[in-house]
Amino acid sequence: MSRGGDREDEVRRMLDGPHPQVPADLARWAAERGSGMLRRRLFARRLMLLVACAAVVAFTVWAMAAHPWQVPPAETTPSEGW
Amino acid sequence: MWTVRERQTGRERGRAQEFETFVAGAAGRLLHTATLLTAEPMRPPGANPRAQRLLTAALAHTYAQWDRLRGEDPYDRTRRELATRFAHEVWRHHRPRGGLLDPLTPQERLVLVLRLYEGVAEEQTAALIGLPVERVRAVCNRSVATMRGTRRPTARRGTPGPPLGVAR
Repeated sequence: MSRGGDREDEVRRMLDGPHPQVPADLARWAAERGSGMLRRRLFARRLMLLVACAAVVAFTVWAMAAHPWQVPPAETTPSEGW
Repeated sequence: MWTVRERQTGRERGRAQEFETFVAGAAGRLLHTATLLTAEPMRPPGANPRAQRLLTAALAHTYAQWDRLRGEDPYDRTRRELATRFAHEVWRHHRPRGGLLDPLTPQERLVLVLRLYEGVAEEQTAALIGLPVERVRAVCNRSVATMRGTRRPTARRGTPGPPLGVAR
């Protein structure tokens, strides 16, 4: 176990060392790309919402025109009874 | 009263600031990890374009997820994205590029870097790259032996590879 640990420590020491220099613009590039992803995602969500709304409207218009069901007298008060 | 747009730009600015602080603190180590993965040299500056590209893509993902991290450490999130991206484009990273981990295959590099440089637990490493825990242990031991020179590098597909004494 400790032999294995020693070996791993040896390799760990090889891996450690000074970090490479980070390009000054890295954060900005990443943020720009990330906000582009967010914008595209927002656009896709809006488009989907729009399509869903259009579908609802189309269905409503069709339903109003075609009356494919037996319309119950929803708004009428019963003439007699309770 | 704030309009929706004002609130949105305010939130964007806050996110950008937090993100910049995070990158300022974490980018050095993350780029080190990425450079170990791509087996590119650490210096001179700019000698690791593949690692920079990999890290930029992973960080962009973290930026896009920033408001939905829900307490998850952005460093862990970025490291996970880095590993996943590397695993997806492994075929691009077979050729030796003059880095420290050149003798290892991309998968061996991924396991070694996650386990020993990043200190990710065996179980998490296994879950991250979709291998059984025993396999992760075996690959890690194999990579350690290769790096210490007690084992010949794994033969690689499609590349001439380092000169071997005896064909496998």
